[in-house]
Amino acid sequence: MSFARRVVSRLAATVPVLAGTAVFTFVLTHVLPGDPAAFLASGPNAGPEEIAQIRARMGLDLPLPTQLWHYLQALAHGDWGQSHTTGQPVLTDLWQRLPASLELTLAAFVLTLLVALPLGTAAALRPRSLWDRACTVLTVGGSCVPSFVIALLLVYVFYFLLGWAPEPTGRIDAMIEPPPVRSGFMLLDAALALRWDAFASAAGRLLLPSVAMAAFSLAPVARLTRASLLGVLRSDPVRTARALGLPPRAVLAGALHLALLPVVTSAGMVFSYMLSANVVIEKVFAWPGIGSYALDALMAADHAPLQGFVLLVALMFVLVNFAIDLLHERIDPRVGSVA
Amino acid sequence: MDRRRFIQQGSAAFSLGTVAGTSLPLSAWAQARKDTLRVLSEGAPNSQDPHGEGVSRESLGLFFNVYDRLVNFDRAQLSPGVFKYDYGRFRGELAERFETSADGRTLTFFLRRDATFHDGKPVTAADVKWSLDRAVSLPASKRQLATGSLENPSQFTVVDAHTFRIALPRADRYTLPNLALSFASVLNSELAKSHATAADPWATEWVKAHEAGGGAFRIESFTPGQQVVYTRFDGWKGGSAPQLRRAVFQVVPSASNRVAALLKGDADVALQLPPKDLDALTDTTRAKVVSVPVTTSFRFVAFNTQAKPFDDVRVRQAIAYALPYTTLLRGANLGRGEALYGARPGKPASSRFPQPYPYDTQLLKAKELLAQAGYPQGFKISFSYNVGDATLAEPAALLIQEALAKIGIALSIEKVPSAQWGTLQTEKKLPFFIDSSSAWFNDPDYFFRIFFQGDWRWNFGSFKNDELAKLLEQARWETDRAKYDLAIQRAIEIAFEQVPLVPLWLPTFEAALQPDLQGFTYYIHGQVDFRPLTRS
Repeated sequence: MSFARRVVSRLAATVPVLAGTAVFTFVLTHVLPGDPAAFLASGPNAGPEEIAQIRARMGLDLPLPTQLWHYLQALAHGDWGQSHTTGQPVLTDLWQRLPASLELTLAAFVLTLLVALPLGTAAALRPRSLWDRACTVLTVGGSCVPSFVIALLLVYVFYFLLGWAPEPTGRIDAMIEPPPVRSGFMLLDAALALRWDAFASAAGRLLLPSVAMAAFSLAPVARLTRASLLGVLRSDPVRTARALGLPPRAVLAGALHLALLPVVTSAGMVFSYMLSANVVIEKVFAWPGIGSYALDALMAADHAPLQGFVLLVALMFVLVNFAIDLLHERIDPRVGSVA
Repeated sequence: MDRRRFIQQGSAAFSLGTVAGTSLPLSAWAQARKDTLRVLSEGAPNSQDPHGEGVSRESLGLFFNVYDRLVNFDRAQLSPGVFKYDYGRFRGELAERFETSADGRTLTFFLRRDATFHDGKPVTAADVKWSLDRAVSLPASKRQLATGSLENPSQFTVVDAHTFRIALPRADRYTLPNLALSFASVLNSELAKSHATAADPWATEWVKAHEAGGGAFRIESFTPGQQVVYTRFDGWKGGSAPQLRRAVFQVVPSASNRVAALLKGDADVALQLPPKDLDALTDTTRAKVVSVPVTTSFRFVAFNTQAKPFDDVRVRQAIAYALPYTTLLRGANLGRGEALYGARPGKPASSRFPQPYPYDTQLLKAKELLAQAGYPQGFKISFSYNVGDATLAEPAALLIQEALAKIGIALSIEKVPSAQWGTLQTEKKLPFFIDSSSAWFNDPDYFFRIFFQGDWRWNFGSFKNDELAKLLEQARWETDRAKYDLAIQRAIEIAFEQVPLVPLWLPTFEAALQPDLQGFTYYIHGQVDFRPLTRS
């Protein structure tokens, strides 16, 4: 099968997944207890008739299958519904907030890779050494302590006590004029507009949340790198290479290449997971991302943003998995030919 | 790259960041900071439409800073630098003065001639009429304004460009207070009308995301759920010009981060802080805490008076005698509130409401009442609280569970998600719960009408009492103060005896401020009014 055809068929296979997600989240949010109309009409002057009015206007008085049909129809037309907590269309909200989440996740992900890969490699090369112990301590610590504790601790030490980090609020100092929005990525926008004050402020504010996030994503990547590399180092090809007297550097490079496959898979999963599960970090750092958006919506019985969030995350998962598959083919050509 | 070079470059980048961050001349930056107010809150405004539906509590603050009304409440000093609105006195905002006819049925407002909207268009009586027409046509504002006999566009007349008249079916003491609420905000009618469509004649879609006001501040940027940036409108004529040039209202969900930013001097006002943080702030000189009793609200324990076992008044009284009031106020709220219990038995002391009930923790009496009601061994029941209210309600629920166990009542505690709380209350599905609520106005008959009668959510105890209904109807239109007091005192007596719910304490509005902020005024909306704030 040619590469292009494989891509097309893979993409086609995602359509039922996304359709299923849409139906599933719709049903899930509608069986959740809590009536959005009663929540909306919670001003101190709302009576039963007002609630009924709101319900009728939102179409909540229709039978569930009809509502689902309306929802899917709107979705097909690119209408993701309206959020009543922000008063904006869900698609607009998500579109504005996704770059914030992506920027934070990417920063944390890069940080994770920068620390986890060398650490895992060092630990595998010298089992039971100080490096190995350090790897264990860091990964166990990072995955045991809840991320909000790490986040609050970082804020307390680096902002409140030492004053090294900027105020842990949002993506940029409120006293600085934000750069004009082009990509939505604050660093990129600031750089494009040559606004170095905004760039410095945005970079500073990215630091603590990405460290806090990296703390818990470190564990799976570092542990897997270590385990995978250990396995490869003990395998026949590496032993043969060593026996043939190849230089250690070349042996290590080959071993790393071989060990990469499971690491890429886990890193991809970690990335998707970070993107959808950084709600807590976003809340602590007042980060205007999609996670805190979904949480606010959940608290306010606001169904449309919740459905939109799940759909978007499903989309991201699908895309990331797709990218990982492509990456696998690059690393190991056998993967593609078998499929 | 070796390690040393990495560290050198790293620190170079770091210091570059610091320099670039303060690229403004230091004095200019300090000046800008001094003229700017930064407010940190848990929630954010979600609408710019004062007549909108489903607006968040924080939006009320926006409405007051961005729009003017005909009149506003005057204010009175509570303590040095801290003020509270005065419910009984009004001062003109867009109206220079107003007259009430002898029979009280006609109100005539004389508008300031120099007032303009943010786009420079003069404010005329036609704008006032269009705004009030809009207010009584859209559902959310309609219902509230009806409590002040403002119901129909035909009541509003434009006499000339700067004279506006309201006709009332009968004199109503709630008309003026309603006109001072955000629901009576005056919009730039031409601007709003230019965005109206056939399907949306009141331009609700547009106004939701765009202000059309003439108030002291205009909106520089509005990001729903995150932040609002206000700049001063220098052409404002509705009062003395505000000192602040700019205000930034930001959402910081974590209370500890709000406190940290305040203490570091990065923020000026921190709102919605839990009692624990407020207590800690009270001890420092780096911040000051403003505490204003909110006399229109109460924290209470409610039960469904229409279902067993709480349909028996003796059971309700038993609960009122068994609750550990003092422990609750001190333990759950760290003493921040005015007690609504422990009054001397007998008749109410005044016609003020809420006022302390004649109940106190007396377990023997509670047991006796339970036995009389046929529950000598007590009973089992669920006790609910809203997860969104957990900081306070969770410890309170545990204390109540422990206390009621002493008279044989076994509580199973239910945590209800915030999204579901309103539904369960509206459908009257909670047998026994803790909550707090507030009304717009302080008059006891208004308060009673909201909380102790009617088939709606706010009648938390689903209470029904014919005599009370009659008294409230009588008090609604009573103009003789003595007769009013008499009726209300009888109504309060009924509330004491029948216990539609058990009030615990009067909550306080609390905000932590930079010590140099003066003139903080607590208004009826419980948000920050930027207009009177000054920095010394």
